[in-house]
Amino acid sequence: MVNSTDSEAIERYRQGDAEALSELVECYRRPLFGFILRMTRKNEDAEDIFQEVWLKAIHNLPRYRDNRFLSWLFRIAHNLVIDRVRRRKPEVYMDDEDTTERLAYHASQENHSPVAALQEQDMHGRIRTAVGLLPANQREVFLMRMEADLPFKDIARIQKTSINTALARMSYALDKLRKTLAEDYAQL
Amino acid sequence: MKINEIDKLLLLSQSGELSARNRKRLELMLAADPSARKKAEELDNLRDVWQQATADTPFPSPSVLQGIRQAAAVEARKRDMPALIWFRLPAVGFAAAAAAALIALGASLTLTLWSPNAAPPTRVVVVDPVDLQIEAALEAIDTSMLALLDVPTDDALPGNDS
Repeated sequence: MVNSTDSEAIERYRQGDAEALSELVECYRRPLFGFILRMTRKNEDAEDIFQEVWLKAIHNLPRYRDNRFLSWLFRIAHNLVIDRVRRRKPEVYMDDEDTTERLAYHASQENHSPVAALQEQDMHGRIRTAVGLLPANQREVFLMRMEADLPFKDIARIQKTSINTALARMSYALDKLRKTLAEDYAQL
Repeated sequence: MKINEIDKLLLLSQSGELSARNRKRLELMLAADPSARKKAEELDNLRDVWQQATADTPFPSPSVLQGIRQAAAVEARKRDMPALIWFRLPAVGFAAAAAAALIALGASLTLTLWSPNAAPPTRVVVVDPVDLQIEAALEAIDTSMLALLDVPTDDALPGNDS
């Protein structure tokens, strides 16, 4: 994820060119906002955290020495999502348990079974719902790979775990999606 | 958590983190195992499908992007700014408007915002109480702007609590 365009923009920003920061925000808003939105599941929370990520990045850019800018942004986002979860536990799960609790939660929220909800949607909707039902640690790895194409080495660092655990989380996530979306997976 | 060898190699291959030696191993495994080849194809296609499934991801609202741009501009200007000012603001939400107003002024100032109702610092600009040149900075600001910002009297400024 070494990107010379990032380095140039960061250097220009350090020299006082505020527009360079806008270019970085524009470049990464889709993967970063998509990740935060699907981790928090609430647009308002996602907007808050997205803004907070950039404010922290802006504040720390003069001291930034890494060469993996997107991974760095995701690391900040990961920490902010965890902070938000700690403050609002009932709304977002960060546990790594089976999906049973989550399925029950969604069923109670939507007043009908998540299986039925999955059946009602088109393929893309079913995939989004199925990913939303993954345990948070697995969902996070999945999103970091699919939204931002982060390497597992960086994902492991962000989650403060080993690369094997990050790989296993991705593998478990894919197994669950394969089971939940059996018909759709056959089309892949 | 455990992961079988071929899944691990497939994932590392897709993320471009596979060594040459392990790439060779993976090629041999794929040649010998049709189900592994199917998994590899799924994995290759999944990212495209996910990107299509989330193509309607909403963008952050314009006000959020504007707030980020303002904060970036304030921080960029800070590099060559001689003075810092603390304002005691009535609410955190007022901070963005205050920052925008000062940027519009074009003054060589760094605004440090602090709400008495929230633990400092607020979200817009970093608190840095070092070397406050309050008197000089206040003179540089139009007094009508101070009224707009609803800044209380000088005794509300940090360091003037007595």
